[in-house]
Amino acid sequence: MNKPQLLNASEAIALTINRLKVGVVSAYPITPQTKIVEKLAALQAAGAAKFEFVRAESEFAAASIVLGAAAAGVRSYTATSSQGLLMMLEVLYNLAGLRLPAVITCANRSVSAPLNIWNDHQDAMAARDTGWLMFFAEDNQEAVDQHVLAYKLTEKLKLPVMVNIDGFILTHMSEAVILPEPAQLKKFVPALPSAANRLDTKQPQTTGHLVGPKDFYKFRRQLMLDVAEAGSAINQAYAAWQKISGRGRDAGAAFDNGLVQFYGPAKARTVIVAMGSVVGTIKTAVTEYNRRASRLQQAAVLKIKSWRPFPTADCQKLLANKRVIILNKAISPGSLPPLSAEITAALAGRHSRLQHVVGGLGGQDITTQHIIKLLKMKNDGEVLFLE
Amino acid sequence: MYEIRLHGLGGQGVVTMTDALALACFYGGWQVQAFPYFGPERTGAPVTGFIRLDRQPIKLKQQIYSPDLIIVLDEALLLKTIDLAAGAKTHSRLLINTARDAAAVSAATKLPVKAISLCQPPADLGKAVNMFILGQAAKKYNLAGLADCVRAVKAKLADKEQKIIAANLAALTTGYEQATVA
Repeated sequence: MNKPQLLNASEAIALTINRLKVGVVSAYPITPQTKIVEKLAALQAAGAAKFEFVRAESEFAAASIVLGAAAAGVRSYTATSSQGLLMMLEVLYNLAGLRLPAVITCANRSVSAPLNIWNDHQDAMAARDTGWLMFFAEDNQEAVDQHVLAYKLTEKLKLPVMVNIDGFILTHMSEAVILPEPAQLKKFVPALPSAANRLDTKQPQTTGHLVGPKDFYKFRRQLMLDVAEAGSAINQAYAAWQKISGRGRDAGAAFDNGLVQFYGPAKARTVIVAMGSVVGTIKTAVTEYNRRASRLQQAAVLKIKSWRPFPTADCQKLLANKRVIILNKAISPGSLPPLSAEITAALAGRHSRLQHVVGGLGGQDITTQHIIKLLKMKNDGEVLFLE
Repeated sequence: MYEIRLHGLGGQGVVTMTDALALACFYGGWQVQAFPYFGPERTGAPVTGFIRLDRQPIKLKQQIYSPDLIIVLDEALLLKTIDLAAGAKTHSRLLINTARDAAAVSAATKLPVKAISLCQPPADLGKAVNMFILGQAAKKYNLAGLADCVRAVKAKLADKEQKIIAANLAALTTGYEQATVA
Protein backbone atom coordinates (compact mmCIF):
# COMPACT_ATOMS: atom_id res chain seq x y z
CA MET A 1 0.00 0.00 0.00
CA ASN A 2 1.20 3.54 -0.75
CA LYS A 3 2.55 5.43 2.19
CA PRO A 4 1.67 9.05 2.92
CA GLN A 5 4.46 11.56 2.32
CA LEU A 6 4.80 15.11 3.62
CA LEU A 7 4.54 17.22 0.44
CA ASN A 8 3.34 20.64 -0.58
CA ALA A 9 0.74 20.67 -3.37
CA SER A 10 3.30 21.85 -5.93
CA GLU A 11 5.64 18.90 -5.34
CA ALA A 12 2.74 16.46 -5.10
CA ILE A 13 1.22 17.65 -8.39
CA ALA A 14 4.57 17.63 -10.22
CA LEU A 15 5.31 14.07 -9.07
CA THR A 16 1.81 13.00 -10.13
CA ILE A 17 2.12 14.64 -13.56
CA ASN A 18 5.40 12.79 -14.07
CA ARG A 19 3.83 9.47 -13.08
CA LEU A 20 1.01 10.15 -15.56
CA LYS A 21 3.68 9.89 -18.27
CA VAL A 22 2.92 13.19 -19.99
CA GLY A 23 4.88 13.72 -23.21
CA VAL A 24 5.16 17.51 -23.21
CA VAL A 25 5.32 20.08 -20.43
CA SER A 26 5.50 23.71 -21.43
CA ALA A 27 5.33 26.62 -19.04
CA TYR A 28 6.29 30.16 -18.21
CA PRO A 29 6.99 30.95 -14.54
CA ILE A 30 4.65 33.07 -12.42
CA THR A 31 4.13 33.26 -8.66
CA PRO A 32 2.65 31.15 -7.03
CA GLN A 33 2.70 28.47 -9.76
CA THR A 34 6.52 28.47 -9.91
CA LYS A 35 7.20 25.56 -7.55
CA ILE A 36 5.22 23.17 -9.76
CA VAL A 37 7.21 23.80 -12.92
CA GLU A 38 10.48 24.06 -10.99
CA LYS A 39 9.88 20.57 -9.63
CA LEU A 40 8.97 19.25 -13.09
CA ALA A 41 12.11 20.85 -14.55
CA ALA A 42 14.21 19.35 -11.72
CA LEU A 43 12.77 15.87 -12.37
CA GLN A 44 13.56 16.25 -16.04
CA ALA A 45 17.09 17.56 -15.40
CA ALA A 46 17.78 14.65 -13.05
CA GLY A 47 16.79 12.16 -15.74
CA ALA A 48 13.77 11.06 -13.69
CA ALA A 49 11.26 12.16 -16.33
CA LYS A 50 10.65 11.25 -19.96
CA PHE A 51 8.65 14.31 -21.04
CA GLU A 52 9.99 17.11 -23.18
CA PHE A 53 10.13 20.34 -21.18
CA VAL A 54 9.63 23.37 -23.41
CA ARG A 55 10.47 26.67 -21.77
CA ALA A 56 8.10 29.13 -23.39
CA GLU A 57 8.61 32.88 -23.86
CA SER A 58 5.13 33.65 -22.48
CA GLU A 59 2.00 31.95 -21.23
CA PHE A 60 0.42 32.45 -24.63
CA ALA A 61 3.25 30.39 -26.12
CA ALA A 62 3.11 27.76 -23.36
CA ALA A 63 -0.60 27.17 -23.97
CA SER A 64 -0.03 27.16 -27.75
CA ILE A 65 2.72 24.55 -27.38
CA VAL A 66 0.34 22.44 -25.30
CA LEU A 67 -2.30 22.87 -28.02
CA GLY A 68 0.16 21.77 -30.70
CA ALA A 69 1.28 18.76 -28.68
CA ALA A 70 -2.32 17.76 -27.99
CA ALA A 71 -3.21 18.10 -31.67
CA ALA A 72 -0.30 15.77 -32.44
CA GLY A 73 -1.75 13.22 -30.04
CA VAL A 74 0.65 13.78 -27.11
CA ARG A 75 -0.44 13.93 -23.46
CA SER A 76 0.52 17.43 -22.35
CA TYR A 77 0.52 19.76 -19.36
CA THR A 78 1.01 23.34 -18.27
CA ALA A 79 0.49 25.39 -15.12
CA THR A 80 -0.03 29.07 -14.48
CA SER A 81 -1.64 31.73 -12.28
CA SER A 82 -3.40 35.07 -12.48
CA GLN A 83 -2.16 37.30 -15.34
CA GLY A 84 -0.57 34.20 -16.86
CA LEU A 85 -3.95 32.53 -17.16
CA LEU A 86 -5.39 35.68 -18.72
CA MET A 87 -2.59 35.63 -21.27
CA MET A 88 -3.49 32.01 -22.12
CA LEU A 89 -7.16 32.80 -22.50
CA GLU A 90 -7.33 32.95 -26.29
CA VAL A 91 -5.65 29.54 -26.52
CA LEU A 92 -7.91 28.08 -23.82
CA TYR A 93 -10.96 28.86 -25.96
CA ASN A 94 -9.22 27.22 -28.92
CA LEU A 95 -8.30 24.06 -27.00
CA ALA A 96 -11.93 23.58 -25.96
CA GLY A 97 -13.36 24.55 -29.35
CA LEU A 98 -11.01 22.15 -31.13
CA ARG A 99 -11.99 19.45 -28.61
CA LEU A 100 -8.37 18.72 -27.71
CA PRO A 101 -7.39 16.94 -24.50
CA ALA A 102 -5.20 19.03 -22.18
CA VAL A 103 -4.73 19.61 -18.48
CA ILE A 104 -3.70 22.83 -16.78
CA THR A 105 -3.14 23.62 -13.14
CA CYS A 106 -4.17 27.10 -12.12
CA ALA A 107 -2.49 28.09 -8.85
CA ASN A 108 -5.18 30.64 -8.09
CA ARG A 109 -4.10 34.22 -7.50
CA SER A 110 -5.77 37.61 -7.67
CA VAL A 111 -5.69 39.64 -10.87
CA SER A 112 -4.05 43.09 -11.07
CA ALA A 113 -4.57 45.99 -10.50
CA PRO A 114 -3.76 46.70 -7.75
CA LEU A 115 -0.78 44.33 -7.95
CA ASN A 116 -1.09 41.44 -5.51
CA ILE A 117 0.47 37.97 -5.59
CA TRP A 118 -1.84 36.24 -3.12
CA ASN A 119 -4.81 33.95 -3.46
CA ASP A 120 -8.35 34.42 -4.62
CA HIS A 121 -10.44 32.92 -7.44
CA GLN A 122 -10.70 35.88 -9.80
CA ASP A 123 -8.27 34.41 -12.34
CA ALA A 124 -10.27 31.20 -12.77
CA MET A 125 -13.49 33.16 -13.28
CA ALA A 126 -12.00 34.67 -16.44
CA ALA A 127 -11.84 31.16 -17.92
CA ARG A 128 -15.39 30.30 -16.88
CA ASP A 129 -16.93 30.34 -20.36
CA THR A 130 -14.09 28.73 -22.31
CA GLY A 131 -15.64 25.25 -22.38
CA TRP A 132 -13.06 23.75 -20.02
CA LEU A 133 -14.04 21.47 -17.16
CA MET A 134 -12.94 23.29 -14.00
CA PHE A 135 -12.24 21.65 -10.65
CA PHE A 136 -11.32 23.20 -7.29
CA ALA A 137 -9.30 21.30 -4.66
CA GLU A 138 -9.66 21.61 -0.89
CA ASP A 139 -6.32 20.07 0.09
CA ASN A 140 -3.17 18.55 -1.38
CA GLN A 141 -4.64 15.04 -1.63
CA GLU A 142 -7.68 16.26 -3.51
CA ALA A 143 -5.38 18.31 -5.77
CA VAL A 144 -3.44 15.15 -6.68
CA ASP A 145 -6.56 13.06 -7.23
CA GLN A 146 -8.23 15.76 -9.36
CA HIS A 147 -5.22 15.74 -11.70
CA VAL A 148 -5.60 11.99 -12.14
CA LEU A 149 -9.31 12.47 -12.88
CA ALA A 150 -8.45 15.35 -15.21
CA TYR A 151 -6.39 13.14 -17.54
CA LYS A 152 -8.97 10.36 -17.43
CA LEU A 153 -11.74 12.79 -18.35
CA THR A 154 -9.92 14.95 -20.88
CA GLU A 155 -8.99 11.89 -22.93
CA LYS A 156 -12.42 10.34 -22.62
CA LEU A 157 -14.51 13.45 -23.29
CA LYS A 158 -12.13 15.41 -25.54
CA LEU A 159 -12.67 18.40 -23.27
CA PRO A 160 -9.73 20.18 -21.61
CA VAL A 161 -9.61 20.24 -17.80
CA MET A 162 -8.35 22.91 -15.40
CA VAL A 163 -7.53 21.98 -11.80
CA ASN A 164 -7.61 24.99 -9.50
CA ILE A 165 -5.51 24.97 -6.35
CA ASP A 166 -5.28 27.95 -4.03
CA GLY A 167 -1.99 29.77 -4.52
CA PHE A 168 0.31 29.72 -1.46
CA ILE A 169 -2.38 28.18 0.76
CA LEU A 170 -1.90 24.83 -1.02
CA THR A 171 1.04 25.37 -3.38
CA HIS A 172 3.38 26.22 -0.49
CA MET A 173 1.75 24.17 2.32
CA SER A 174 3.03 20.69 3.23
CA GLU A 175 0.73 17.98 4.54
CA ALA A 176 0.37 14.21 4.24
CA VAL A 177 -0.30 13.09 0.67
CA ILE A 178 -0.58 9.62 -0.84
CA LEU A 179 0.74 9.69 -4.39
CA PRO A 180 -0.90 7.43 -6.95
CA GLU A 181 1.16 4.35 -7.74
CA PRO A 182 2.29 3.87 -11.37
CA ALA A 183 0.37 0.57 -11.52
CA GLN A 184 -2.85 2.28 -10.37
CA LEU A 185 -2.38 4.97 -13.01
CA LYS A 186 -1.62 2.45 -15.72
CA LYS A 187 -4.95 0.81 -14.98
CA PHE A 188 -6.96 4.03 -14.66
CA VAL A 189 -5.33 6.28 -17.28
CA PRO A 190 -3.68 3.98 -19.82
CA ALA A 191 -1.22 5.39 -22.37
CA LEU A 192 -2.85 7.49 -25.08
CA PRO A 193 -3.90 5.45 -28.08
CA SER A 194 -2.62 6.87 -31.36
CA ALA A 195 -5.52 9.16 -32.15
CA ALA A 196 -7.10 8.80 -35.56
CA ASN A 197 -7.51 12.54 -36.08
CA ARG A 198 -4.12 13.70 -34.85
CA LEU A 199 -1.93 15.95 -36.94
CA ASP A 200 0.43 13.83 -38.95
CA THR A 201 2.69 15.08 -41.77
CA LYS A 202 2.29 11.73 -43.53
CA GLN A 203 -1.47 12.19 -43.70
CA PRO A 204 -2.02 15.93 -44.00
CA GLN A 205 -5.35 17.28 -42.81
CA THR A 206 -6.73 20.52 -41.44
CA THR A 207 -7.75 21.44 -37.94
CA GLY A 208 -9.31 24.71 -36.83
CA HIS A 209 -10.64 25.87 -40.18
CA LEU A 210 -13.24 28.58 -40.80
CA VAL A 211 -16.86 27.71 -40.00
CA GLY A 212 -19.73 29.83 -41.34
CA PRO A 213 -22.88 31.01 -39.57
CA LYS A 214 -24.87 28.02 -40.84
CA ASP A 215 -22.76 25.56 -38.85
CA PHE A 216 -20.98 27.61 -36.16
CA TYR A 217 -23.82 27.41 -33.63
CA LYS A 218 -23.83 23.62 -33.96
CA PHE A 219 -20.26 23.46 -32.66
CA ARG A 220 -21.07 25.86 -29.83
CA ARG A 221 -24.25 24.00 -28.90
CA GLN A 222 -22.41 20.70 -28.93
CA LEU A 223 -19.71 22.11 -26.61
CA MET A 224 -22.39 23.44 -24.27
CA LEU A 225 -24.23 20.11 -24.17
CA ASP A 226 -21.07 18.04 -23.75
CA VAL A 227 -19.77 20.11 -20.83
CA ALA A 228 -23.23 20.07 -19.22
CA GLU A 229 -23.39 16.30 -19.58
CA ALA A 230 -19.85 15.72 -18.34
CA GLY A 231 -21.20 15.49 -14.77
CA SER A 232 -22.07 11.80 -14.99
CA ALA A 233 -18.66 10.95 -16.48
CA ILE A 234 -16.99 12.93 -13.66
CA ASN A 235 -18.99 11.03 -11.03
CA GLN A 236 -18.19 7.68 -12.66
CA ALA A 237 -14.48 8.46 -12.90
CA TYR A 238 -14.47 9.72 -9.31
CA ALA A 239 -16.10 6.52 -8.01
CA ALA A 240 -13.74 4.34 -10.04
CA TRP A 241 -10.65 6.21 -8.80
CA GLN A 242 -11.88 6.06 -5.19
CA LYS A 243 -12.02 2.29 -5.61
CA ILE A 244 -8.61 1.92 -7.25
CA SER A 245 -6.85 4.37 -4.92
CA GLY A 246 -8.62 3.09 -1.80
CA ARG A 247 -9.25 6.70 -0.81
CA GLY A 248 -12.09 6.73 1.72
CA ARG A 249 -14.79 9.36 1.93
CA ASP A 250 -14.20 12.16 4.47
CA ALA A 251 -15.72 10.77 7.69
CA GLY A 252 -17.88 13.86 8.26
CA ALA A 253 -19.41 13.89 4.79
CA ALA A 254 -23.11 13.10 4.49
CA PHE A 255 -22.96 13.17 0.68
CA ASP A 256 -20.05 12.93 -1.69
CA ASN A 257 -19.54 12.55 -5.44
CA GLY A 258 -17.17 13.89 -8.07
CA LEU A 259 -18.95 17.25 -8.24
CA VAL A 260 -19.79 18.16 -4.63
CA GLN A 261 -19.34 17.13 -1.04
CA PHE A 262 -21.85 17.89 1.72
CA TYR A 263 -20.02 17.90 5.06
CA GLY A 264 -21.92 17.99 8.33
CA PRO A 265 -25.34 16.77 9.46
CA ALA A 266 -27.70 16.14 6.52
CA LYS A 267 -30.49 17.94 8.40
CA ALA A 268 -28.43 21.10 8.99
CA ARG A 269 -30.58 24.22 8.59
CA THR A 270 -27.70 26.43 7.47
CA VAL A 271 -25.28 25.49 4.71
CA ILE A 272 -22.18 27.42 3.66
CA VAL A 273 -21.29 26.97 -0.01
CA ALA A 274 -17.64 27.42 -0.96
CA MET A 275 -14.83 26.19 -3.20
CA GLY A 276 -11.17 25.37 -2.63
CA SER A 277 -9.00 25.36 0.48
CA VAL A 278 -11.28 27.57 2.58
CA VAL A 279 -13.63 24.59 2.81
CA GLY A 280 -11.15 23.00 5.27
CA THR A 281 -11.40 26.03 7.55
CA ILE A 282 -15.20 26.04 7.23
CA LYS A 283 -15.33 22.33 8.15
CA THR A 284 -13.30 23.06 11.28
CA ALA A 285 -15.52 26.03 12.17
CA VAL A 286 -18.77 24.17 11.55
CA THR A 287 -17.67 21.21 13.69
CA GLU A 288 -16.84 23.59 16.54
CA TYR A 289 -20.06 25.57 16.06
CA ASN A 290 -22.29 22.47 15.97
CA ARG A 291 -20.96 21.25 19.31
CA ARG A 292 -22.62 24.22 21.02
CA ALA A 293 -25.54 24.78 18.67
CA SER A 294 -29.01 23.37 19.22
CA ARG A 295 -30.42 20.74 16.88
CA LEU A 296 -32.26 23.46 14.99
CA GLN A 297 -29.13 25.55 14.55
CA GLN A 298 -26.83 22.87 13.09
CA ALA A 299 -24.68 23.94 10.16
CA ALA A 300 -22.95 22.20 7.27
CA VAL A 301 -20.77 23.05 4.28
CA LEU A 302 -21.35 22.27 0.63
CA LYS A 303 -18.05 22.03 -1.21
CA ILE A 304 -18.28 22.73 -4.93
CA LYS A 305 -15.57 20.54 -6.48
CA SER A 306 -16.67 21.06 -10.07
CA TRP A 307 -17.22 24.67 -11.11
CA ARG A 308 -17.72 23.62 -14.74
CA PRO A 309 -19.94 21.77 -15.23
CA PHE A 310 -21.77 23.44 -12.34
CA PRO A 311 -23.54 20.84 -10.17
CA THR A 312 -26.98 22.47 -10.40
CA ALA A 313 -28.99 19.32 -9.65
CA ASP A 314 -26.88 18.45 -6.58
CA CYS A 315 -27.25 22.01 -5.28
CA GLN A 316 -31.02 21.86 -5.75
CA LYS A 317 -31.20 18.56 -3.88
CA LEU A 318 -28.88 19.56 -1.03
CA LEU A 319 -29.81 23.23 -0.52
CA ALA A 320 -33.59 23.39 -1.00
CA ASN A 321 -35.38 25.08 1.94
CA LYS A 322 -32.10 25.84 3.70
CA ARG A 323 -30.50 29.03 4.87
CA VAL A 324 -27.57 29.28 2.44
CA ILE A 325 -24.42 31.36 2.91
CA ILE A 326 -22.41 31.61 -0.30
CA LEU A 327 -18.74 32.43 0.17
CA ASN A 328 -17.24 33.95 -2.98
CA LYS A 329 -13.51 34.48 -3.51
CA ALA A 330 -14.14 36.59 -6.61
CA ILE A 331 -16.43 39.39 -7.73
CA SER A 332 -18.37 40.19 -10.88
CA PRO A 333 -18.74 43.97 -10.86
CA GLY A 334 -22.25 44.98 -11.83
CA SER A 335 -23.84 41.67 -10.84
CA LEU A 336 -23.80 39.06 -8.08
CA PRO A 337 -20.40 37.46 -7.37
CA PRO A 338 -19.89 34.36 -9.58
CA LEU A 339 -20.67 31.55 -7.12
CA SER A 340 -23.65 33.50 -5.77
CA ALA A 341 -25.01 33.92 -9.28
CA GLU A 342 -24.83 30.16 -9.90
CA ILE A 343 -26.50 29.26 -6.60
CA THR A 344 -29.18 31.92 -7.05
CA ALA A 345 -30.03 30.55 -10.48
CA ALA A 346 -29.98 26.94 -9.27
CA LEU A 347 -32.27 27.64 -6.29
CA ALA A 348 -34.83 29.90 -7.98
CA GLY A 349 -38.24 29.05 -6.53
CA ARG A 350 -36.89 26.59 -3.96
CA HIS A 351 -37.52 28.59 -0.78
CA SER A 352 -33.89 28.86 0.21
CA ARG A 353 -32.76 32.03 1.98
CA LEU A 354 -29.48 33.31 0.55
CA GLN A 355 -26.68 35.39 2.00
CA HIS A 356 -23.96 36.47 -0.42
CA VAL A 357 -20.49 36.90 1.05
CA VAL A 358 -17.22 37.96 -0.55
CA GLY A 359 -14.00 37.11 1.27
CA GLY A 360 -10.43 35.99 0.89
CA LEU A 361 -9.65 38.47 -1.88
CA GLY A 362 -5.96 39.02 -2.56
CA GLY A 363 -4.87 36.68 0.23
CA GLN A 364 -7.19 37.93 2.98
CA ASP A 365 -7.07 35.11 5.53
CA ILE A 366 -10.51 33.62 6.20
CA THR A 367 -10.61 32.29 9.76
CA THR A 368 -12.96 30.11 11.79
CA GLN A 369 -13.96 33.32 13.60
CA HIS A 370 -15.21 34.79 10.32
CA ILE A 371 -17.23 31.64 9.66
CA ILE A 372 -18.80 31.47 13.12
CA LYS A 373 -19.73 35.13 12.88
CA LEU A 374 -21.46 34.44 9.55
CA LEU A 375 -23.35 31.51 11.06
CA LYS A 376 -24.60 33.68 13.92
CA MET A 377 -25.78 36.63 11.85
CA LYS A 378 -29.12 37.03 10.10
CA ASN A 379 -29.34 36.93 6.31
CA ASP A 380 -30.00 40.30 4.77
CA GLY A 381 -29.76 39.47 1.07
CA GLU A 382 -27.03 42.06 0.48
CA VAL A 383 -23.48 41.24 -0.64
CA LEU A 384 -21.36 41.26 2.50
CA PHE A 385 -17.59 41.74 2.39
CA LEU A 386 -15.59 40.02 5.15
CA GLU A 387 -13.42 42.33 7.20
CA MET B 1 -3.54 21.08 18.15
CA TYR B 2 -0.04 22.47 18.77
CA GLU B 3 1.11 25.46 16.73
CA ILE B 4 4.66 26.66 16.16
CA ARG B 5 5.93 29.93 14.67
CA LEU B 6 9.55 30.28 13.59
CA HIS B 7 11.30 33.61 13.07
CA GLY B 8 14.61 34.31 11.36
CA LEU B 9 16.24 36.47 8.74
CA GLY B 10 16.29 35.65 5.02
CA GLY B 11 19.30 33.37 4.35
CA GLN B 12 19.38 31.80 7.83
CA GLY B 13 17.45 28.72 6.75
CA VAL B 14 14.11 29.34 8.44
CA VAL B 15 12.24 27.64 5.61
CA THR B 16 14.60 24.62 5.61
CA MET B 17 14.30 24.37 9.39
CA THR B 18 10.51 24.61 9.23
CA ASP B 19 10.40 21.86 6.60
CA ALA B 20 12.87 19.62 8.45
CA LEU B 21 11.21 20.01 11.86
CA ALA B 22 7.81 19.37 10.30
CA LEU B 23 9.14 16.27 8.56
CA ALA B 24 10.74 14.96 11.77
CA CYS B 25 7.39 15.37 13.57
CA PHE B 26 5.65 13.65 10.63
CA TYR B 27 8.05 10.69 10.90
CA GLY B 28 7.25 10.58 14.60
CA GLY B 29 3.56 10.01 13.87
CA TRP B 30 2.12 13.53 14.12
CA GLN B 31 -0.40 14.88 11.63
CA VAL B 32 1.49 17.84 10.24
CA GLN B 33 0.87 21.02 8.29
CA ALA B 34 3.78 23.34 7.49
CA PHE B 35 3.98 26.56 5.50
CA PRO B 36 6.16 29.65 5.13
CA TYR B 37 4.95 33.22 5.40
CA PHE B 38 3.47 33.85 1.99
CA GLY B 39 5.42 36.85 0.83
CA PRO B 40 8.25 38.01 -1.39
CA GLU B 41 11.60 36.56 -0.24
CA ARG B 42 14.56 38.89 0.33
CA THR B 43 17.92 38.07 1.91
CA GLY B 44 18.22 39.72 5.31
CA ALA B 45 14.52 40.48 5.70
CA PRO B 46 12.52 38.86 8.51
CA VAL B 47 11.21 35.41 7.49
CA THR B 48 8.51 33.41 9.27
CA GLY B 49 7.64 29.72 9.14
CA PHE B 50 4.63 27.90 10.60
CA ILE B 51 3.96 24.33 11.76
CA ARG B 52 0.69 22.79 12.98
CA LEU B 53 0.75 19.44 14.78
CA ASP B 54 -2.21 17.33 15.82
CA ARG B 55 -3.22 13.73 16.44
CA GLN B 56 -6.23 14.19 14.12
CA PRO B 57 -6.03 15.10 10.40
CA ILE B 58 -5.76 18.91 10.12
CA LYS B 59 -8.42 20.50 7.92
CA LEU B 60 -7.90 24.06 9.13
CA LYS B 61 -6.24 26.25 6.48
CA GLN B 62 -6.06 29.62 8.23
CA GLN B 63 -2.75 31.16 9.27
CA ILE B 64 -1.36 30.70 12.80
CA TYR B 65 -2.25 33.55 15.15
CA SER B 66 -1.77 32.09 18.65
CA PRO B 67 1.34 29.89 18.62
CA ASP B 68 2.09 27.49 21.46
CA LEU B 69 5.80 27.73 20.66
CA ILE B 70 7.78 30.59 19.14
CA ILE B 71 11.30 29.85 17.89
CA VAL B 72 13.66 32.74 17.12
CA LEU B 73 16.88 32.10 15.18
CA ASP B 74 18.51 35.49 15.65
CA GLU B 75 18.45 37.95 18.54
CA ALA B 76 18.68 40.79 16.02
CA LEU B 77 14.94 40.19 15.59
CA LEU B 78 14.44 41.60 19.08
CA LEU B 79 15.41 44.95 17.66
CA LYS B 80 13.14 44.74 14.63
CA THR B 81 9.70 46.18 14.47
CA ILE B 82 8.03 42.75 14.40
CA ASP B 83 6.29 41.60 17.57
CA LEU B 84 7.85 38.21 18.40
CA ALA B 85 5.29 37.59 21.13
CA ALA B 86 2.26 38.37 18.94
CA GLY B 87 -0.66 36.09 19.81
CA ALA B 88 1.19 34.36 22.66
CA LYS B 89 -1.08 32.59 25.16
CA THR B 90 -0.38 32.18 28.87
CA HIS B 91 1.23 28.78 28.31
CA SER B 92 3.13 29.73 25.11
CA ARG B 93 6.90 29.20 25.10
CA LEU B 94 9.76 31.06 23.41
CA LEU B 95 13.05 29.47 22.37
CA ILE B 96 15.56 32.09 21.28
CA ASN B 97 19.14 32.09 20.05
CA THR B 98 20.68 34.86 22.10
CA ALA B 99 23.61 35.81 24.32
CA ARG B 100 21.33 37.93 26.50
CA ASP B 101 19.71 36.65 29.68
CA ALA B 102 16.05 35.75 30.10
CA ALA B 103 15.29 39.00 31.90
CA ALA B 104 16.51 41.04 28.92
CA VAL B 105 14.51 38.90 26.48
CA SER B 106 11.48 39.23 28.74
CA ALA B 107 11.86 43.01 28.78
CA ALA B 108 12.10 43.10 24.98
CA THR B 109 9.26 40.68 24.24
CA LYS B 110 6.97 41.24 27.27
CA LEU B 111 6.85 37.46 27.72
CA PRO B 112 7.25 36.13 31.28
CA VAL B 113 10.74 34.87 32.17
CA LYS B 114 9.40 31.37 32.84
CA ALA B 115 8.17 31.13 29.23
CA ILE B 116 11.63 31.84 27.84
CA SER B 117 14.34 29.32 26.98
CA LEU B 118 17.70 30.53 25.76
CA CYS B 119 19.99 28.68 23.43
CA GLN B 120 23.45 29.59 22.30
CA PRO B 121 24.89 27.56 19.47
CA PRO B 122 28.67 27.04 19.46
CA ALA B 123 30.42 29.75 17.45
CA ASP B 124 31.82 27.35 14.82
CA LEU B 125 28.50 26.13 13.35
CA GLY B 126 28.43 28.52 10.41
CA LYS B 127 25.15 28.21 8.50
CA ALA B 128 24.06 25.14 10.48
CA VAL B 129 22.82 27.23 13.44
CA ASN B 130 19.26 26.45 12.37
CA MET B 131 19.91 22.72 12.78
CA PHE B 132 21.34 23.20 16.28
CA ILE B 133 18.15 25.05 17.24
CA LEU B 134 16.02 22.39 15.55
CA GLY B 135 17.67 19.76 17.77
CA GLN B 136 17.13 21.91 20.84
CA ALA B 137 13.44 22.50 20.09
CA ALA B 138 12.73 18.89 19.15
CA LYS B 139 13.98 17.57 22.50
CA LYS B 140 13.06 20.45 24.80
CA TYR B 141 9.40 20.47 23.78
CA ASN B 142 9.15 16.73 23.10
CA LEU B 143 8.32 17.26 19.41
CA ALA B 144 10.49 14.61 17.75
CA GLY B 145 13.18 12.04 18.53
CA LEU B 146 16.78 12.40 17.36
CA ALA B 147 16.53 9.55 14.83
CA ASP B 148 13.49 11.20 13.17
CA CYS B 149 15.30 14.55 13.13
CA VAL B 150 18.36 13.00 11.49
CA ARG B 151 16.22 11.26 8.88
CA ALA B 152 14.34 14.51 8.17
CA VAL B 153 17.47 16.62 7.80
CA LYS B 154 19.03 14.01 5.49
CA ALA B 155 15.87 14.06 3.35
CA LYS B 156 15.73 17.86 3.19
CA LEU B 157 19.44 18.25 2.36
CA ALA B 158 19.62 15.28 -0.01
CA ASP B 159 20.86 17.41 -2.91
CA LYS B 160 23.70 19.03 -0.89
CA GLU B 161 27.37 17.97 -0.70
CA GLN B 162 28.31 15.29 1.83
CA LYS B 163 30.42 17.78 3.79
CA ILE B 164 27.48 20.15 4.25
CA ILE B 165 25.14 17.32 5.24
CA ALA B 166 27.64 16.06 7.82
CA ALA B 167 28.08 19.54 9.34
CA ASN B 168 24.30 19.98 9.61
CA LEU B 169 23.81 16.58 11.20
CA ALA B 170 26.60 17.32 13.70
CA ALA B 171 24.95 20.65 14.62
CA LEU B 172 21.57 18.94 14.96
CA THR B 173 22.96 16.20 17.19
CA THR B 174 24.86 18.65 19.40
CA GLY B 175 21.75 20.79 19.76
CA TYR B 176 19.63 17.77 20.62
CA GLU B 177 22.06 16.32 23.14
CA GLN B 178 22.67 19.63 24.92
CA ALA B 179 18.96 20.39 25.32
CA THR B 180 17.11 19.79 28.55
CA VAL B 181 13.44 18.86 28.50
CA ALA B 182 11.37 21.95 29.29
